[in-house]
Amino acid sequence: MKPSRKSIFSSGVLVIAFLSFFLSAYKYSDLKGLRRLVVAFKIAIFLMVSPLSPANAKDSEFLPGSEGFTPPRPPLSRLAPNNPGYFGSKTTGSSSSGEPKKSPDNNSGDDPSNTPFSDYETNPDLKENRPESKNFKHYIHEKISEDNSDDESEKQCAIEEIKVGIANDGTFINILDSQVRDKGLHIPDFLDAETLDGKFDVSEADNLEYSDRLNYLRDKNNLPDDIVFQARDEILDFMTAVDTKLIPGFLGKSKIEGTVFINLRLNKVGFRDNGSYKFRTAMTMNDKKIKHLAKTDFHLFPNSGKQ
Amino acid sequence: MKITFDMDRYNELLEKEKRLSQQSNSLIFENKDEFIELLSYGARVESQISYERKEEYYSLISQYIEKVITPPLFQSKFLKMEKEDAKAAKMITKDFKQLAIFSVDLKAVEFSSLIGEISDVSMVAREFGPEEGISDQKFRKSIEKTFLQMQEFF
Repeated sequence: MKPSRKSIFSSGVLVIAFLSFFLSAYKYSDLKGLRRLVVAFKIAIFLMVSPLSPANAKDSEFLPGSEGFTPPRPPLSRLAPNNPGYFGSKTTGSSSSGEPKKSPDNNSGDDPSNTPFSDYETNPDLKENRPESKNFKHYIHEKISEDNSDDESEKQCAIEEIKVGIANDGTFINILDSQVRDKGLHIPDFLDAETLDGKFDVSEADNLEYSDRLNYLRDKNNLPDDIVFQARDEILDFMTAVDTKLIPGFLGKSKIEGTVFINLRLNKVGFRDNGSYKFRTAMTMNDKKIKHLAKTDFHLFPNSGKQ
Repeated sequence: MKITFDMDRYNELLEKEKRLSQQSNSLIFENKDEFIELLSYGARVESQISYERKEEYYSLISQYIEKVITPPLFQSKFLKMEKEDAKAAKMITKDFKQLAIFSVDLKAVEFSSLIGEISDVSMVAREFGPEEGISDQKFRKSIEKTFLQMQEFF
């Protein structure tokens, strides 16, 4: 018996959907090699076979820890209109002071798939009717401890939430909550004292040495999740604001290639990696420092590790 | 010697930036020199405000040099002071009337560059660990060097 056109079409749709899920999961995974393939395959299968309500996902034993996960939207290959082309459409050349370091999973900044919205969706004039977090999506991220154990079972795995914003040039900004937490000293730059009152005392963290400070910030009793989430959303609001400028730049002594986000109205500066589009840091910066940044080819913290 | 601001030029640059911004563009992309020039107005106002608090800065740095306060506390207090200066400067640059009569001592610009150096190393120390950023020893050396250069302003 010959398969009907309808069944061929349905099969085709299923295959395309599976491939989309697989490729998205593969692309956003931090894993390497075979493990990356296997996890991406599992996620794709999981998305194909299970209903997508968070309640059902929570009960799934196939992918534990995936509660609240919403599937990634397959990216559409369209650039934002009026894109000045300073990020996302081209990469920067190396500067005179040394070779810039590419991100580990570098796809370079000219990845056209990093443009998930159509012209309609990226047109700022059409954003008004959408909620505040219009450009934000949640993804999952598998985090594995970096111990030296060869035994796979000894490696600690955790599923961490990634929030994805869309910059005003249509490119992604992937924010890990853990990164916002580690940069907790900058949280008062984004949340007012009233919001922080009784929940997070930055002066406690301020007085600690670097490693103690990290431990302090990673303790949810000291820095509650809801403060981290609010800070993350504020950071994304700044980074996705219409008047935030995206400029190719570098970070730290290794000259990590990425994009510097500058908003003169808010006096805020942020940084995102080129390869993974991961958020690295964001803070308030005065005119003097932004001026200095412009003079140094938008290299954030160029003197780190040099003094 | 004191310098005042060319308000017509400031207005021109602001308008240019505003116009470009409406076209999803900026002076950053179109003319970096003019972008830097625009930012120099706020930067100079901030320099003057910092200069007027130079005794406070000096006192704080002295406390660190004499090991009265720890490096993290010093960094935090120093950057807080700098933020206060930036906030005050922002209010002045937004108010054309105030900016038009504001004058900046040339010494303030020099002093401010030293403040900037301390601020830079303090930010690096807070942003990165000792390996990626700066060790306590190197941090101290850097502050002591800048502190010596500051002496001439008193």
